[in-house]
Amino acid sequence: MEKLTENILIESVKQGLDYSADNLDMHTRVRLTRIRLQAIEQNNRSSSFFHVPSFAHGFAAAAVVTLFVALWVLPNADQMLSPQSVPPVSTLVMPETEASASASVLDGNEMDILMSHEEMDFLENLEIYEWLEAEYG
Amino acid sequence: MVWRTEREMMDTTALITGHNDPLKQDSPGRNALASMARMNSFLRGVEHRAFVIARLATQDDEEALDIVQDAMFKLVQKYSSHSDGEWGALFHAILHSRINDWHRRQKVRNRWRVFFFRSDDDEDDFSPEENIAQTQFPEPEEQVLQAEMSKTMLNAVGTLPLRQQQALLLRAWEGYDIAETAKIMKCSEGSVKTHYSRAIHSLREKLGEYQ
Repeated sequence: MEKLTENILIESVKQGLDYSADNLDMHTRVRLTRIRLQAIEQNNRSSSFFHVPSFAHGFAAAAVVTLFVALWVLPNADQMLSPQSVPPVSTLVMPETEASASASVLDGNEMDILMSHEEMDFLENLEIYEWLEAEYG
Repeated sequence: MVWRTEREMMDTTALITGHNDPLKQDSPGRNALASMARMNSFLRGVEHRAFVIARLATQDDEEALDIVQDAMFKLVQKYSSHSDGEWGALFHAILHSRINDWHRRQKVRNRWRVFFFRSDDDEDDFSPEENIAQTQFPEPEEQVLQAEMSKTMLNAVGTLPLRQQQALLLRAWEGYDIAETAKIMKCSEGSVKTHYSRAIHSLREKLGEYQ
């Protein structure tokens, strides 16, 4: 039997493969098209993220910093809100000088009183008691 | 949406944006769109052949589609900024690398399967004829003959060892020279020559009777 020459063999292989590639069934063609478009689309999505205007990058960076700071500070917020750290009520309703004076004497016991359900008359007169104590000892 | 030409893409863009004037020549957005249109055109040109190559190697349509998908995604993600002329070799390098990975995984799976399910071997006998693409419509006699020849050829190529198959497809079908084929297959030029020569020898023996 005469041997196939390499050229004829290669030509036959090419024809056979070309025929197979040109005659794929419709289902496969559709799926290949979908895959190709998905590949192009995912690149468009990722590239559009990197092509946003520069001010948006700045805004994003600022947002990240703000978030970081917030997360850094928030764990200490409960300490700030503890009874010892709450500013005395008197500082909010009294003139500044009196407030600073009374703040110095307002200790943990007074806060306990404030937080408890004492009579409001007593609390309203508390400033007078403090003044009397300061004046006449 | 599939654009056939860059011009068609620009016309579509003009329609969408409501601008009759073409986009400015030097805008980065336009360049990116044009690049993606070229990439789309390139992939459309190679997708069928890539599928045939992957199917020959895996003998499975689904696995072949997965491999082609991986190759397309990686090319677009990593190499779309490269020049168009490089895409062909890069795409084939990725495709054949994925095929090699798939074969490695299959070897490991088969080893475990043989170990655990020795008795099931008969049921899983591989039949290449079942995996050959079928044409959809009845064909004239000449086309039937051509289809038959294609089927025979695919069977013959499909039974070659993987490396021989790759060397043959890259050299004979895709038209790469020995150096390019070696680069794509990640082996020496000498190995390419050996694989190719063995592939031709095997095919000659297998197809001799069809002469």
